[in-house]
Amino acid sequence: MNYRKGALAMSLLVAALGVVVWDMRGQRERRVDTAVRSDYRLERFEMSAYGEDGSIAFGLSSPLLERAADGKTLDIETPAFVFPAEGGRSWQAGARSAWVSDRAREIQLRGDVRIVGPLSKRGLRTEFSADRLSVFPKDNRIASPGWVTVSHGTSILKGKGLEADMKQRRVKLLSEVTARYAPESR
Amino acid sequence: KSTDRKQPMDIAADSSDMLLNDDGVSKICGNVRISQGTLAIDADCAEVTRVKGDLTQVTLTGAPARLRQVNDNGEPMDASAARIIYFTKAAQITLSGGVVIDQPRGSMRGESIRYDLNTGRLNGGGDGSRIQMRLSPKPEGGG
Repeated sequence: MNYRKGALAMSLLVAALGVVVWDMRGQRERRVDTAVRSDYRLERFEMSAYGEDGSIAFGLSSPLLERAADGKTLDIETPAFVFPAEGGRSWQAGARSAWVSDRAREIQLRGDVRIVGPLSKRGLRTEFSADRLSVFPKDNRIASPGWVTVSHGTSILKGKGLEADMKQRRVKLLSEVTARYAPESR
Repeated sequence: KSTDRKQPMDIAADSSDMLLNDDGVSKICGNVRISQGTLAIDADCAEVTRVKGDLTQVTLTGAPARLRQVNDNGEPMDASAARIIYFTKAAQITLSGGVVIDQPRGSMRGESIRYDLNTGRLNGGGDGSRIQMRLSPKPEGGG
């Protein structure tokens, strides 16, 4: 999962979308917080973001993306991210909403967060689930202050506080850890 | 019990540091408590080894690490050692470093003792270290 390219791509997206201003304010009555006017918004969209080398950085589909009036951050409803991984495989990440910081340093996934990895050689998947989880593309890192469940095949670990280096595939659960290992499969 | 190893293994601890691979070692530390059927082990740290996605070995260290289990005859066994290695596939446990094993029929002390989870057999010494055993007298009229 090459997050560095993702971050660059997200920045390009923000810049590019700055040109495509599509202000829907007058057309449809939406639950828009009048205090926070959006700079622009996209509805029911799918996009692929590419890095400098032309390879895909990530895919994103969502019913609604809004750029905040400060022109720096993004709010995305029910985002579905697809991050490419080695060997043509991919990670899928979804949540009820996402907030993307200035220059995509942090992508905060909020509510029913689920990140699902590709099948391993043994046909096992890695999955993260949490209420809130942040992706830091530039550092290939994900982190969460709250409860996170990490499963890999039949091993399930849960703890409070997570730090994960996705390049090293190394995950730390910081406190109150419980783990369950199913008996051998054969 | 011999059926213990067919149960899921539950671990509770303060923190964990793991690799998300089919083959990998996870380090779990801080008030580690492992339970699997009647088997219960308390330690400071545990290293959980998985091969091809399956749990194959758990290495526990403590000052000391403690193990308790009830055998198929319902007899309790209490053991303590600086290091306890549980080979899940082979259903073997090796205890090393100031090993003390207490059972109703007596106690055993040594530097290295192997315990077969299927048969309940204890095997000590053979590596140059000595074993001390104390057998408890049968209770009066015990037959």
